[in-house]
Amino acid sequence: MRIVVVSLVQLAAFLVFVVLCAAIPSARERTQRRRRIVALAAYLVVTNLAIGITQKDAWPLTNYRLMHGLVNPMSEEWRVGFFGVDRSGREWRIDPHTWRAISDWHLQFWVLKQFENSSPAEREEVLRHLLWLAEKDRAFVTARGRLPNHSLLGPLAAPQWWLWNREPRVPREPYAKIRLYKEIWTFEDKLATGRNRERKLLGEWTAR
Amino acid sequence: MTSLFERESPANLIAARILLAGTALWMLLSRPGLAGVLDFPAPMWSSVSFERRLRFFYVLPSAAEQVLFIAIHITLVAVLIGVYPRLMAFISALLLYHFAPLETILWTPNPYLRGFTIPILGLLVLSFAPRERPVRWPLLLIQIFFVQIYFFAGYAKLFTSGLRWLEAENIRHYLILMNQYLGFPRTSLAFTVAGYGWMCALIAWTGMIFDLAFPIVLFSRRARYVMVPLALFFHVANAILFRVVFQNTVLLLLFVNWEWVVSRVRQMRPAPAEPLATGAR
Repeated sequence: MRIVVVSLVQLAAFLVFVVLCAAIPSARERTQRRRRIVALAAYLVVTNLAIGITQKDAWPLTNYRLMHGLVNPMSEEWRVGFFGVDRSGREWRIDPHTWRAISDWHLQFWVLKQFENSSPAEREEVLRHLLWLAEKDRAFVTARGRLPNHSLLGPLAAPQWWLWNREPRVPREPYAKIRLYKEIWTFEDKLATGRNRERKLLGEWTAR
Repeated sequence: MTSLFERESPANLIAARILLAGTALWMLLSRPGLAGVLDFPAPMWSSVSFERRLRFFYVLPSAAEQVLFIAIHITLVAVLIGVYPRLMAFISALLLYHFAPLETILWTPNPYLRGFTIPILGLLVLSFAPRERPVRWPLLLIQIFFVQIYFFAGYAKLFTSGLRWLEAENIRHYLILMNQYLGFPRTSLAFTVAGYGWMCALIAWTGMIFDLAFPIVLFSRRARYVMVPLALFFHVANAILFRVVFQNTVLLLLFVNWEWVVSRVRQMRPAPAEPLATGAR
């Protein structure tokens, strides 16, 4: 119930903004128009201050927080690793840009939150889709010798928000499987060894 | 309050329109698969609640979404070149509101730092700006939207973590963790910088002071000469060290006085040759 109310309030915050904007040109006289402009400005200032100060959110009116917490060097860090597996069993890390418009980061969160709670049939459907995307990119790299841009703008395309290290190495043969791991490390461990402490297999699917 | 109704240069308003539409179009052309997210397998959409789908109007069939996705490119081009700019800006803003969350929707409906937020708000404001007499309020509101990004990014750090966020050790951890997470080797520049406590402290303090002080550009034109280039440096440094790209960097040009630029360009043009006077000889 709470999420319904929150969604409605978030939508209402945006719609009020649109309505206040739209009311300006229909004002009959100069004074009325000025009042409406002041009302719009006041609404935006108050709403943005309220959202910013309380750190709530009603996107596109939002709080713009970024890297605002403290990093605990003792805590376990994680990343979901997406790997294609060739016929010989060798694993190849799939390029983070493979998922097209969905960022690798958000896909990772989705995997950790939803994937494990999905039914086997649902997991298979998701893994099949991810492998299909990965295989399209693998074929492109094999044919052209470079990673695809996924955009007509080529190198002039807007980069993703996080600048992932790209993974241009792919096998010459199609992937036989896709595997998803939860890779776990601690900050200082990885700094010393350059390696993850452990990884847990989250899912695997073999192409048919 | 009176500054809302001061005269604004038409050149500055046109520049704002071009910058906002251009940024949105650049982002869209860079994400041609955005509408295709709606066709991701149904289990992937299981995390998106019904009210979230309603909030962004994800109720249309795939073919209709593809048509809308093409339409938004056309409306943005129209805004860019000034064909029915107000109507097209309004339609563009609503369509951007519809499509922008797709980039993150599987996890969060808030794509706030992924390039579309300021164009949505800005295009909506511009679509109701007065035609007859250019005034300050539309551009001022857009500039306020933009400076908030910096101010509230700084505020959020203090709100959440207090003054401990400014400790050199915290920045060191961020530098290393971000590069570890994004898959970069220990030879990256960030790891070198992380080895110097004074550099980490400098990054923390200058970044925080810069974030909180950025709204000064709303009040002082002189401050823009310092803060706008500093912002550019800030984003380049963030991209190199923390691997974070701010797609709205080009919107810093909202703080340029384009009327002055246009007048300078006109002055630099060679004067047209005078027509030969007949019978001069």
